[in-house]
Amino acid sequence: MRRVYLDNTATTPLHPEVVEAMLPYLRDIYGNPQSIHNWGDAPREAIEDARAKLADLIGSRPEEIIFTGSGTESNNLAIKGLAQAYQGRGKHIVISAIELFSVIHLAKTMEKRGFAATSVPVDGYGLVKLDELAKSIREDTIVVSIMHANGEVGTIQNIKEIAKLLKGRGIVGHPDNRLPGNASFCIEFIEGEAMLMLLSSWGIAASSGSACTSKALKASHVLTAMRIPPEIAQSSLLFTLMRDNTEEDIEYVLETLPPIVDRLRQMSPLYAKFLKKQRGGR
Amino acid sequence: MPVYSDKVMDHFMNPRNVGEIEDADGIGEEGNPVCGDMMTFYIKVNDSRLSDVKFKTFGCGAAIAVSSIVSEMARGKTLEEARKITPALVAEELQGLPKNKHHCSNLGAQALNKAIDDYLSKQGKPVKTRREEKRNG
Repeated sequence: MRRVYLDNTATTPLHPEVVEAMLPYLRDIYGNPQSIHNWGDAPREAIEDARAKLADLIGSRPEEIIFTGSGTESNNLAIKGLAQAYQGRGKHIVISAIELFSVIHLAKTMEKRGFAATSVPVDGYGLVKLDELAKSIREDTIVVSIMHANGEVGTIQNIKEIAKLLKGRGIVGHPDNRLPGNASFCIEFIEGEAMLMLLSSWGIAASSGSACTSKALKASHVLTAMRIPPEIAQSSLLFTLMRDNTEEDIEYVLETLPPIVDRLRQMSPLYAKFLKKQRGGR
Repeated sequence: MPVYSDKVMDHFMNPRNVGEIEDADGIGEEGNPVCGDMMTFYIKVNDSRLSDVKFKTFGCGAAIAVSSIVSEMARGKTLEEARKITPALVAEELQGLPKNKHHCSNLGAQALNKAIDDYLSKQGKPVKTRREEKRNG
């Protein structure tokens, strides 16, 4: 059976060139870069070399680049760091309703520590409402953290307009995320987890924002913020691609998915009601 | 994905008794799509026995497996016996359910009970729900 991995937002394989570049340091070259003895020399040089290359890519100074272990850690470091550095100037943080949990939960934590936080709503497409954003900015706003691209529904924010709103006001913007191949659907009358289980039995990995697929049994906060009705959010199905996915992979998904949808719809009382209503309407 | 028992997977992959009964003697609907899962049970009654049980379900893997096993457990039983299908028994029959999926087994048992209630009320008989039975000892 063909195996097709389309859940690259959850985790994704390393690029072969990355594996190749990292292998010597995972296998032979060890040592703490901070050490005085010369075991630390090679790892230190490698890290500083990487830092300089990255700085060059984005036009920053090398010392402005800080490596962390994960996106969650980076968001924490950026927002907590900025908030603490600028707390003399103000104590207000602005985020959007569709940020990652690492940002949303962090804003709540900061509120407990004496900061104020505002969550700006989004429209039905997941776009931050610019007028609401403008209204949310106060004299004491120090950080605005809005993701550039949403990994769940694929919405790309108008980051230029957002930057214009912040310009000259001493507010630091914190745009997060960029977006690879992302295809987000809601397939009415059937539920996400059931779709994922059947897809998995056919060798296809995807994800869903349905309540049943989450441990807390809550529908995706992104879909909820977009005011997608709960029964539609239940039917969410998300494919996120990687570079190794082929056209054949996608063709296989296009062959496999419709019978799965059909099978679950035949089981669904909602679909039966919909059909009855349609027949009655004619 | 939650870790499901082999029995849950079997009933999810090959659900028994899916469908509607056109001339059902009783219909019971439980849950709603807003909270996540919805089940509809259809029953046929012959000599106080459930001669046929069918279901339609909108929901996760556990919800579908629960509906399937409840329909199997209920078939051929008397109404009184079918009333005794509790969520705990359903979960046991499925070799256990993940903690956050236990509400699915409640839905299944309740939907079946509602179908029996519906049958009784259509017959003009007193509807004695399981809850009332408990209350009355």
